[in-house]
Formats: sequence, structure tokens, C-alpha cells
Amino acid sequence: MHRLTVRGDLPDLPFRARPYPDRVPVSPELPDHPDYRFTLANERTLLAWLRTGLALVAGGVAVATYAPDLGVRWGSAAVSLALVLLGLLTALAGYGRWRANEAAIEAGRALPSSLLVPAVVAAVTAVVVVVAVLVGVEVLRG
Amino acid sequence: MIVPMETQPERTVLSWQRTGLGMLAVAGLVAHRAVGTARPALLVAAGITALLGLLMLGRLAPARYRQVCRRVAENRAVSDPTPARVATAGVVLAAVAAAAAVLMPD
Repeated sequence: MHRLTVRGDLPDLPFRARPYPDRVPVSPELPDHPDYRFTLANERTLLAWLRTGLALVAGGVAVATYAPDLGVRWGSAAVSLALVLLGLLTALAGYGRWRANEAAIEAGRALPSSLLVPAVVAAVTAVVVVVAVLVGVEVLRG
Repeated sequence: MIVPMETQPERTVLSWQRTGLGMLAVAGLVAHRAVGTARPALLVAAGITALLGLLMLGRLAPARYRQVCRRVAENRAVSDPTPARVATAGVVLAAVAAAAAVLMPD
């Protein structure tokens, strides 16, 4: 929608065609909702979290399928289940983060801080360390 | 069809499509496991996951794109919790199907 700020912005039109011919607002009228670009950026961030969760879930299924004997008898199942559960929790936490961000955007506040990224990194690191130990056990056994 | 002024809605619909493709990838892995380990029950889980991915790719993504374009053109808020909730629920269901694939005994 075209917004007029100063009288000089009025196009050179016949009087009846001019919008607000006798009422030109001094300042632009602000909409009562947030900029749609912020909302869409937040939506894409949620989808990125969901894909991170899906990637972890896919990794869990891949470990169970392609590495069924990982070090010890229960090794593969434990790592697979941990990855799938981590993916599930990542998707749910991403949704929680999206909701908190939506509320902040709606209220015009700064986005709330979150420990989600370091938490996911720490959890994935822990799984990788366990896999490294299990592979080491398998190598040592010959 | 309302054409947006810039590329933000397009970037968002592409993000929806990538997420749908990710769900199809998980469905493929579960299906491969079902066939490889001769557990046909897992094919049902793979089929449900694939259906959810196709719904996201073919229904949710274009519907959300049209909704965003319409609301931007009408200068209305584009925020809508329903697509976000549906997408999260779909990923949770895919994760449950994957957990079943991992845990199901030989």
C-alpha cells in the first residue's frame, strides 16, 4: 500500500483521484503486526531445526542398518536409539524456540536467549565419543 | 495467483520443500531396513512417513506459500501456528517410526 508522508509526495493527479486530498499524515501509519520478513525468517529457522532433527533420526536408522555390530552387542542399538531420540528432542525444542521467537517478534522485543545450539552440539559430541570408543573396541578385538 | 514483491516467500517455500524431502529420505531408510531385515511391519511405518513427507511437499508447502503471498498483498500478519504445528508433529511421527525400526527385534 502506498503511504504518503509529506504533501510533496502527492502525485500530479486530478483532485478527486488523490488519496486523502485534504488529510496528509505527518508520519507514516505503522501496521499493527510485525514485519512479515521477521515472521518468515523465524519460520525458516523452525524448519531448519526440524531438518536437523530429521538428519539425526536418519543417522540413527543408518547406524542400525549399516553398522549392526558396533563394538559390543548392544552398541549399535544404543547409538541408534540415542540418535533417534536426540532428533525427536531437537524437533520439539526447535518448535519451542519458534514459539518463544514468535512471541518476542509480536511484542517487538529482542529474541530470547537459548542454550539449544550448545545443548545439541554437546549431545552429538557425546554420541560421537561413544561411537569412537565402540569402534576402538572393535578394532582392538580384531 | 498473487506474485510477491521479493523472494522471502520463495525462500520459505523452498525450506518447506527441503523439509518434506528430508522426511522422504527418512522414509526411504526405514523402507530399506524393512526390506533388508525382512520385517514387513516396518513397511507400514515407512509408508506413513513417506505419506507425511509427500503431504508436506505437495500440500502444506504450496498452501503456505499462497497464504503468505495473499496476506502480504493484503498487508495482514503472516504468522500462523498451524503449519508449524503440523510440520513438527510430522517430524515427531517420523522419529517414532524410526524408533520402531531401530528397536524392533530380529
